[in-house]
Amino acid sequence: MDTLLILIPALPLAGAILVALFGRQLKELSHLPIAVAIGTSCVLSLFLLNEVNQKATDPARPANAVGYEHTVTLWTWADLPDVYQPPAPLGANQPEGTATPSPAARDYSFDIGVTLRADPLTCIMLSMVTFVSTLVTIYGAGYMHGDRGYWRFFAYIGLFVFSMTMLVSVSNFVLLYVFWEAVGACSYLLVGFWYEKPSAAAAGKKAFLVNRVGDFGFALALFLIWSNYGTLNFHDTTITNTVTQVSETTMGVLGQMRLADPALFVGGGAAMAICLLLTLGACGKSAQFPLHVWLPDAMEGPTPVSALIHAATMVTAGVYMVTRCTPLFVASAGVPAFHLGDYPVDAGDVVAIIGGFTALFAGLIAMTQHDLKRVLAYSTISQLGYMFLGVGTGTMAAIVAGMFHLITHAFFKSLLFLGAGSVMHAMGGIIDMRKFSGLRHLMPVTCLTFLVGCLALSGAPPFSGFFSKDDILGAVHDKAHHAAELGHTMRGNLYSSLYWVGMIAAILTAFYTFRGFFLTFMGPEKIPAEAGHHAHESPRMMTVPLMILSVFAAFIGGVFFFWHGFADFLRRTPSLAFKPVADTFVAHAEPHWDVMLTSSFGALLGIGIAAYLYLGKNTEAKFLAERLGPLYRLSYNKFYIDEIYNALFVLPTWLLAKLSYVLDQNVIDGLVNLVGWIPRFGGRLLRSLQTGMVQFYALAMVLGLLVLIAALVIRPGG
Amino acid sequence: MDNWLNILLILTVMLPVAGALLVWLLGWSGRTDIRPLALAVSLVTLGLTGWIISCYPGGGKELAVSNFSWLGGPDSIVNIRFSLGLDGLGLWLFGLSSLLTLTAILVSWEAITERRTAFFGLLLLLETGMLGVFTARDIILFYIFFEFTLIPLFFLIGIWGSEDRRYAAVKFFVFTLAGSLLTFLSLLAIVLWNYTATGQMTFMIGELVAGLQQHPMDASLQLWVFLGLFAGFAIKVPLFPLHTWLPLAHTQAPTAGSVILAGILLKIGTYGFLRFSLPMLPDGTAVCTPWILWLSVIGIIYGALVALVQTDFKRLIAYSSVSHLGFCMLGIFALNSLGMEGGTLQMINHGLSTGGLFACVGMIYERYHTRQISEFGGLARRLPFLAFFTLVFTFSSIGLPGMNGFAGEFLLLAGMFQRGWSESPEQLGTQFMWIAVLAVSGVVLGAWYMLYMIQRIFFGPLKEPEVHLDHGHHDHGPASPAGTTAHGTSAHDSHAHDTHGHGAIATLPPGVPDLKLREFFALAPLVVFVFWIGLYPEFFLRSIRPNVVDLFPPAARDLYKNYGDPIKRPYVEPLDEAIANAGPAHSKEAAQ
Amino acid sequence: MSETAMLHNSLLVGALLFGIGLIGFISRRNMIVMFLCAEMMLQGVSVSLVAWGRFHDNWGGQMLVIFILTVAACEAAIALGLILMLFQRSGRLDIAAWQDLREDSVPAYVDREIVEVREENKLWPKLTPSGIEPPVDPEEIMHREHV
Repeated sequence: MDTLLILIPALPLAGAILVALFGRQLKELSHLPIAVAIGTSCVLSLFLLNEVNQKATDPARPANAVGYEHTVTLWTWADLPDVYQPPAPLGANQPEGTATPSPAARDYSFDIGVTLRADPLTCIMLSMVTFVSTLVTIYGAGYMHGDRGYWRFFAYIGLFVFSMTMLVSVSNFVLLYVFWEAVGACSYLLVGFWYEKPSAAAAGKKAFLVNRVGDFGFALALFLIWSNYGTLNFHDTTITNTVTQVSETTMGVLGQMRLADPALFVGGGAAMAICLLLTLGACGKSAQFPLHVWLPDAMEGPTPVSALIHAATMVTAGVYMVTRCTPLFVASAGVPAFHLGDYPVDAGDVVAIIGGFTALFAGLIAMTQHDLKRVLAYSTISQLGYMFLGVGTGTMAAIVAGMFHLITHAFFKSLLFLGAGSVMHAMGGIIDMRKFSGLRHLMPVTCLTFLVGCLALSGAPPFSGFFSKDDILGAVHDKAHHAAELGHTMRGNLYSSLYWVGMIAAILTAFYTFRGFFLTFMGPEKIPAEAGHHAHESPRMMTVPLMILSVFAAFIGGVFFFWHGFADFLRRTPSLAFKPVADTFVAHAEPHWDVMLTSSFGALLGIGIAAYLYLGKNTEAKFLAERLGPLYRLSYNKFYIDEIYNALFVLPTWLLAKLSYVLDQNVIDGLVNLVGWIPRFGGRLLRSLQTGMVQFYALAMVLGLLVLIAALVIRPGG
Repeated sequence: MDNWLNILLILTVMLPVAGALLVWLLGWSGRTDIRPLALAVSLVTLGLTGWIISCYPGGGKELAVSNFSWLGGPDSIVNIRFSLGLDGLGLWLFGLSSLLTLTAILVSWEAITERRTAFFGLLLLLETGMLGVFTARDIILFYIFFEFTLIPLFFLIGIWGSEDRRYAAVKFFVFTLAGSLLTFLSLLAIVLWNYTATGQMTFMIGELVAGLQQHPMDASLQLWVFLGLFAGFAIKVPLFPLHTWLPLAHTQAPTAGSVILAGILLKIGTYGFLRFSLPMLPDGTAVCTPWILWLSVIGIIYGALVALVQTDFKRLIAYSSVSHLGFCMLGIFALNSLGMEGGTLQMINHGLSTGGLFACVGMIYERYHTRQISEFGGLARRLPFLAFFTLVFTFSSIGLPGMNGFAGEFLLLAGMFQRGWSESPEQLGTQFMWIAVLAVSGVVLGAWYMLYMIQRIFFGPLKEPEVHLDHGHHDHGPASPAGTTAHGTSAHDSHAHDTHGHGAIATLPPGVPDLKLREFFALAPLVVFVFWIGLYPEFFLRSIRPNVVDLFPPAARDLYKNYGDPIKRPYVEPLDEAIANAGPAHSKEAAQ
Repeated sequence: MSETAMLHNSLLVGALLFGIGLIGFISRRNMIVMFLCAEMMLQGVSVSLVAWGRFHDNWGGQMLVIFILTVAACEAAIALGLILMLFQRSGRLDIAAWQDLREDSVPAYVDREIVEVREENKLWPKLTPSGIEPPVDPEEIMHREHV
């Protein structure tokens, strides 16, 4: 298992290095090492998945074991012994009734190893990431054909897959942060891949900076975790003193020892702060509401990148992180300062609110965009909102549903992006839906696969999006119901409104998805001039991944839904086997038929509206846009968020910077020069004494002598 | 014990001086090309440095300590000794000095066309100064090397600098000297206090530390002595608001000067704080800590903001140095092991990444003879390899994980935050937490100005200033490796066909050459260390740690908390050697 | 005469010599006279040194005087040489003609104006550079005024 775990990230890295070194020689073959490496990683991931599944669900495992995890440490990143003793005893602010074996007060070591872990969550993420990456790499070989930076592209892709697989398999917060930023850097490089395009270069920078704002929160969260828990490892670590042979175990933040007793988690305001800051980090990476602005701009990158990084994998890192940290979110409940009417809010509620709001908000923007890739980008934001809603809701069913949606979304959204890329490829780089239409005859394969993706995304009944989205909505519905039963009215109201928000967003999803589909593939055939001789179906290398993905997009939801193994496997992740979460697990839960019915109806409604407005002459759409002028413009201009941020943050910072520079040049340097001017001024005063006359100097000497003699004579006692 | 090692250390430190003399001797007529000689000397020095470092046993030991009578003698009242030695604090900075001198020599290879002999001689002289500062074990010897670094750099800036070089050189010199004279007074005060307290006149740093820990100075005197040291070291660092000489000096200095100034000379300030202020003057340190922390964090934000609006790339990087050195100071004055180790590591990181950045922009300057960012655009097309290296150093400098900047920044910020969290007067703790939070926001700003610069210079449509293509070549001697262009741009252009029509220029008109082999070798070693420190910082921390912990024994932690009420710090015996030998991770039991 | 009286007389003579020299040095403008005045001050000091030496019955004073005489001789040689050079430059012995070592902003002070008669265009012999063979201009050899 160790070898598998190491090889999965190592192969893409090796491929990337190989291509980076010999890319100029490999030329058009540069995709081969990467495709082979990632493909092998994918196979290995499936092996790993199988092995972990066998071990995790092994009935011989002790019943009281908290989940299943396996770690392997490659080398020590940093180990600073005995540097810190957390001030407050752990386990404060915990619900009473749990015995609190407070750990002995002692100095904690800052001990960070390059440690990889295998647990169900990691395995699922690994398999998904490597699988989608393999397909996208193959697709990219067709899409990027003939590009000047062919080898550079694949080197970056290899680097990205390495970082992403590491991100989901490392076992401490520091390395999570490391690869969290590393995927951001790969995204920066890939978004700015066509660096000669100013908009691409700017988009790359924006993506990086907005992510940095999120990482600001993430970093502070890490410092808080360190300051409170005295460790940053997920797993429990044991160090044996080589002199005394005494072993000393440090509980990891999410280690099995700590998970066994909820009282060992830090509670109170600190926990709340940790979770909110983690959420800020997750919002940055997963493009949630306050920090979503970078993702649409990131569409400047090559389309395979959009499919891989900005739809399927990297942006789900936030969801992964929140899922991984579920126990921390659970522990954040019960801060007196944060109350929602009658019930204390935990940070999960905040995540759910952000997710629900973003799902709706991004859906509203997506309705009016003309750029097909931007529609998909906002749709990604919206779907990530669903996942946040799921993991924020915090019951086992909701978290599993969130992860379920993550998987299905990875398939159908990368399918949609790749389809859009196929269109873009044929249209000579044009992706504005006003410039083309009726491509169904020109590109039949793309059209069909895209349709499958659209159906899956809009949640039409038998397709995968239907099941996963319904699972989330059903879990939210249950939580609302449950809270109301417990008498937490406000909380019940919150979740039922989130449920309805999700439902409305589902209608919007169906609408904008099919709006895009109809505008692109239906109607009269129209091809822009830029297309030139490219206007034909894409090569086999691109369509085959589309077909494979469409099979998955169509069926994986149903498979997972009717086969309960997914939930059963995922709940053996240590973080989810945490008692307060595990208690909410219901084996073989009844499907939410009512929710399903409502949402199928919503999906059909959305598709119907889209068909009514955009099939045919589009006159109604134009009419509506004119009648709803201000609302339309608000949506079209993305609620002016970019402009607001510009005015609120960017511009003041610039002004402050300019002011600082003026200050620096004049005031601070001026003060320094003033000090430097004092001796010069003194010199100017004494300058007139320098007459050049010999007699004057002689006189001065005599006078000086006289003064000396006088001092000697007059000095008392001298 | 290691007799041959201390001879080797002296040889290493003195070799560049000998090299400089030889360079001047041979190059006096101006006919001989002395560059290979200078290169050879620096290479040998680097090799010897590497050798010595590889012999370092770790565990806080001092390596290769030599001790000769120098001025005065054991029986006279003044007993200044010629004593060199290496410990964990200076170890990596010592290595970095050699490494960056090599880079400096390589980047000046063709950039310097006038008075080459004098230039390379001065560079070697400077190397001795730097190596000496980090190895000196005698307080006077330290001070001599400390000042000795000034003189060669003064000439480097004043003679080979850009348009405003005289002003910059004088300002640099006078500013730094003014501070360091006060430092000298403080150093003398330390020696004299030790003399009155122990009755023994010694200038050895180790003995002074022991003496001052046993007989601490009066708290009020400590404050004054601390401020005296602060004057010299803070200007050297430079701490806001004493930084204004730095952008000027960097902008005007030749590339080699900038590389060394940013890479090494600034670290002498932080090194001075670690070596003298912290262990010798705990009360003064404790009183000044909040002030210094605030100045550091203001410097972080302020330097970043000012860097954001720069139009001159060397000046931009210079202000980024102000910001980054703020991080180093923050770490050191977090006064806990996490922060101080992070700060010490960050000193090396900054030397690598900013040194590398200065080398990179120097190469651009050498090609185009302008420093205005607005005159450039899309250079990644013209200079892909240079763009790659610049990007690596940029990422390293903005603290991208996996590279060195992150390792240092993360540790020191964690240390700072931890300090705030566990500080006992809660008000002060809150203050420190705010400092940490502001410092983290400086990381965001750091990414902003650096990536903005990269975007303007390397991305976008190709735009370059007018150059005479043979400009860089007309002054080459026949032996110069001008023709060895390692990686032409032609290979990169073979796939000019761009299906997506993203505004690519199909074929590139001839222009300045990309990275030459010589320039590649100037940058590549730095990149190796950038990744080495980033991926395996423990390797470096391991040897730094015991000395940092020594500076700051755990018992003093309580002292630093009660900053308003200085207490006499009990002298803590160094850890038992056996335990120190057992390795860094495993001394828990004994320490308790 | 008692030892004390003799000391007093000698010191008086010394002081007078010194004073006359001092006043002369400060008030005169002729370089030769100024030089002589300086010598006179020296002699005044020498006299008092001899007197003290005798008073204390110690040879140190006399020894020092002989030393002073030696130094004065050297000094005289140098000073007269300098004066000669200055004279050759300006053609006059007035010290007021040499105020060049003053600050730019300070005006030259002359209590009585002197007529400017410098002879700048006169050709003076140069020192031969040591060590290397100087470039020889045949014209110059042919038309040299004097060696």
